[in-house]
Order: sequence, then structure tokens, then C-alpha cells
Amino acid sequence: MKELQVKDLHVEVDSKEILKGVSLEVDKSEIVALMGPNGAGKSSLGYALMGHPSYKVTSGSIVYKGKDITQLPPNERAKMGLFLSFQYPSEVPGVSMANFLRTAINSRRDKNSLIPVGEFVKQLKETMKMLKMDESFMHRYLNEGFSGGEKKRAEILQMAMLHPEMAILDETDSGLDVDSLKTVAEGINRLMNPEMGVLLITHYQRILDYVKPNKVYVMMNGKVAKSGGPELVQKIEKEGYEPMVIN
Amino acid sequence: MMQATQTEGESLNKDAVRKLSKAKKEPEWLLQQRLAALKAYRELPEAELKYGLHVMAAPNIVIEDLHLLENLTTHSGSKVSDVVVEDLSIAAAKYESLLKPIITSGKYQDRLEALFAASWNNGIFIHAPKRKVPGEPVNVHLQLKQKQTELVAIVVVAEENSNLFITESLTQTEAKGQSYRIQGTGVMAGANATIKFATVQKLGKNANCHIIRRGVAQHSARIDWVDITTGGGFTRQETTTALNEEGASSTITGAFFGEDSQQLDIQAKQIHNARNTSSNIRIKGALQGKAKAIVQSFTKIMEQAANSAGHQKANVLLLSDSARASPIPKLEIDNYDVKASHEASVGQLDKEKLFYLMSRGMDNREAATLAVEGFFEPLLRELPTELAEDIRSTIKSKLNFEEETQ
Repeated sequence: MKELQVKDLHVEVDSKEILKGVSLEVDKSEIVALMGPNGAGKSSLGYALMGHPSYKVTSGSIVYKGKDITQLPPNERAKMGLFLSFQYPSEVPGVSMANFLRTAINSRRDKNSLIPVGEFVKQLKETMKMLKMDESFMHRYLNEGFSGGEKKRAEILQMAMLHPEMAILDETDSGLDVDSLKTVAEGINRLMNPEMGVLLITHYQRILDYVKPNKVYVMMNGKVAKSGGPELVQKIEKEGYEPMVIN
Repeated sequence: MMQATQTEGESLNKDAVRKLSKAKKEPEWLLQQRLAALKAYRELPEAELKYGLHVMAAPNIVIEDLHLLENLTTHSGSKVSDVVVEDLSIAAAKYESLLKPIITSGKYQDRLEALFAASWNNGIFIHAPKRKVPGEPVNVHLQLKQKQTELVAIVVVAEENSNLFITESLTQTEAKGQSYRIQGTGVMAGANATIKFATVQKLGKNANCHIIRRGVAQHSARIDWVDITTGGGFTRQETTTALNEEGASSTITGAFFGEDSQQLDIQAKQIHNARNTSSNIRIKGALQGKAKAIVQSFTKIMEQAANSAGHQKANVLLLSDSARASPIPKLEIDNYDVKASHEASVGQLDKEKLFYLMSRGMDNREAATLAVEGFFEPLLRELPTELAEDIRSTIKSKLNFEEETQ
């Protein structure tokens, strides 16, 4: 059985249906690209998978590690290993990146085995170095005043520190210049391991030059319109999303 | 120990005031001042409490003359200190030339103030003498425990170049029924003097608390007020600084947390009377349960106060559907050559922010707690460490998310 299975998922926001029966699968050790034009429902799927309270599942299911998680709150999903890198992460003034990450790590641990501060700081510094982030980010308030690129790096930093087993990366490439894109992509590749699956949501094929997908889904109008191998990326690059509407 | 029960027209009369003043061994001029205040009290209208907070000022007050020094602990931070901390009634005789002009200059804005001036039962005088050059701050800590009703007068005189850091913590030990705390604090900062005055109020929920704090800053003097309010059933708190001479500055920093049926009426005022003066007002508060708060901030820049700056910011976070808050920012500017700004907001915890935090593994409560702490943090960061720690832990212990924030 595949690690993550989305079965005929219908989702409403404010009583308006935005996902109209999405089915897809991501397994361990797979990088799956989810492509599609703006408004296709890609980000909505990311939110629904993570359990955003405004995204109401009206039918269908999300099965992760063999368990139906459709009704689980976001924190329970996170504890099972799910992670969402946000396209537009919230700014949390007054909460430093370090304080936030330590709280997040400890929330997944038993009360008696909280992460020692020294070990945490060491890990954090090493990870920031890998992502070419200045150490001063530790003390800055979470995402407040971060540039678009800094926010994306901060999301990948969180992923690296939280060691998820299924990461949904929503438009992690948008707003990045070429150098930042390379750094972020490198970070993703280094974190990738045989126990981990990635659902990479993207509008452009750009990041896929650096992070190679095993499988590609294309979403249109709240549904999966097409799926295939990596060759689909080239096809989209040449022909755009238009021909798929006709199909 | 003397007890005097004061009710209007009955026990609060000249005899009761004479008796109180005599028991406190006050000089004649102070007795006369109390009697004049009593007369004013009878003539003034009832204290006005506006904006939907319907709590009347004390109609009946029981005065217990608690021995002041039992309730007061002080310690100074520096090894050798020339700072005097003394019973105000006794100091009134010893420092007549200094205290008489201060105590007799006041005009009573309402009945409550006159009542207070007539019948305060505990007084504290803090005096920092003149120095040649500004030095390290001298810390004075006032531990003001009360059982029932208490009327406390505090007068602080910091002379030229002196530096004082005063913290007072107001607590209550065994309140039976309703009690009152009325406190009047007057602070004078001489040329180039610095005073930081922090009030931490943790009275019981049956206490009606009226705190009036007034400061006068002379040439290049600085007065920083801090108030941290988590106690009291009804709290009315008014802080005013008069920036009377060039180069004077003042900040008012307030943090509050209200729960159950607590009501707060907070007023912060900065009055610029001279050139090159600057002021700041920053207030942050959170309310849960049925708590209510009014936050009035007022910056007045007089015509003669050119090249001055006055800023204010008030933010209130509502953590329940029944909590209510009204920030009322006000700027009155009579000179064009100034910088001034105000900002006020009332809001709830952002649901997107909570989802973001929960998506990292925190449960509802952990996420909301972190967001509330974050709300206060930028303000607490600027406070002395112990004070910031104190309010952090108080808030954490009081936070109670009855409703699912999801």
C-alpha cells in the first residue's frame, strides 16, 4: 500500500466546492510533482491534506500510513510525519524562530524526553549553514519582515529540523532567484531519504530541473487531469496546460 | 491600631480626619490640607466613570491603619545609598519645605481624588538627593500587601542627576467581601534625573482599585512608567506625565491580562509643555472570559512645545467571544513642528497563524499560548527582566481557551 493515498477527495471552502474528486498517491522515497495552472486547486489540496479548518472535506478520504486521517486535526497529522511547506507562511511576531522550532520539536516528543537546548542549537546552526542562512535568523521573529526567498528557506529549515516523512512543498520555488532556488533544491535533495516521500506543488517546471520527480500529476479545475512520468514535465513546458483542457 | 469607619456625612467628618492625622503624628499644615480636601469632597460631583463601565467609586470606606513599615520592604541596589524611604506623615514635618508645595498644589479633578486627599491612611516618601553627575539607578522595592481597604499616598522626589528605579507590587492577603485600593502617586524628576516607576497590581477579584499616577519632568529629566495589571475586580488607572521643561521625556508602558468579569479603565496621558520633549505610550493587553477594558491614550502637545515627538500605540487581544475592549486614542496638537502618531487595534488570534503553528505539531492550546506570548513579547522585551518574567508566567497560568480555536 502506498504511504499517502488521496481518494476521490471533494473539498469545500465557504460552501463552494474547490476540489472535485482528487485522487493521487505518493509513496516513500518518491518525489511526486503536482503541476497545474493558477487556480487549479493545487494549494487547496495542500491545505486539505494538512487539515486546514476552513477546507471541509465533503466526501472522499485521505489515508496516510494505512490510517484514515481525513478528520484528524493538523497537529496529529504533523505528529504522524506529515509536513506542509507553505506558499505564504504566516508571520508570527514576538515568537523567535528558535523558540518556535524548539516548541514545535518538543510538541512531538514525550514530556520526559524534551530536546536539550545545547543539542537543539547545534542542530539548528548546522541546518542553517546548509541552507546558507545567517545565524541571526534564529533570533528574528518567525517570518516577520522576511523577504519572499527568506520565508521559503525558513520553511525548508523547519522541514529539516522536524524530519517529516511526507512533505508537501507548496510553490517552494516561487519568488526565488536562481541562486536561492539552487540552495533550496539542494536542501530538499539532501533531506530526501528512502523513508521519505515528497509532493512537490509547482506552477513552473523550473525547480524540477534540480529536484527530479518520479511521477507527475497535472491538476485542472479541482481535479487531476493527467498523470505520467517525468516526460510530462517537458511536454507541459512545450505545449503549456491548454491541450489538457481539451483532453 | 486605629479603625475609622467612614460613611458619607457620618463617619467621614472633621473629627475622623483629625483623629487620623493625630494618630499619624502629622504636622498642622498636613492636617489643614486634609480638612480642605474634605470640604472639597463634599462640594464636588461624583467621580465619573464613562464608556459603559458601571462601577461607582467607593461610597463606604473602612480605613484600617495598618502599620506602614510592616507592609513595606525596601532595598537599594547600590551599596551606599543616600536615598530616603520614609513614612510620608513623618516626612511631612521633616521635609516641610520640600513636601508642602507638592502636597498643597493639587487641584482635585473629582470627588474620589478629594476623598483620597482627606483620608489616605498610608503614605510613603522617597527622596533621592541631588548628585553632581548621573549615576547608576538606586532600586527601591515596595511590597504593599493589603488585607482590606487601603488608601496609599506615594510621593517621590528625585533631585538633579539622581536615578531611581522603583517597583511596587500590590497584593492582597485575605480579602473578605469588597475592598478598595486607592492610590495616589506623585513623582517629581528634577533636571537630568531619571525615574523608572513600575506598578505590578495583583489584587484580589473583589478589590476596586483606583490608581492615579502623576509625574512632572523638569529639564532633560526622564520618567518611565510601567504598569502590569492582572488583578483587581475593577481597576481604574490613570497615569499622566507633564513634560514641563526642554529635553524632558517620558514613556508609559502597560501590559494587562483580564479574565472572568474583570474590568479595566486605563488612561495614559502625556502632556508636552516645553520644546524638544518626547513621549511614548505603549499598551498591550489580552482579555478572556467576560473581561472588559477601556484604554484611553492621550498625547497633548502645547503650542510652546515645538520640535517635540509624541507616539502612542495600544493593542488589545480578545481571547473569548464575550470579552470587550475599546481603545480610545487621542492626539491634541497645537504646534505644527512636531512628530506624532497613534495606532490602536482590537483583534482576535489569527486563525491562519494558529493553523500554521498547529501544522508543525503544536496542539490548539500550545499554538494559542505561543501566539499570545508572541503578542506581548515585543513589549515585554523592553521591560526589566524580572518584571517581564513575572507577567509571562502570570499570563501563562491564567490562559484558558474554553472554546476550540480551530
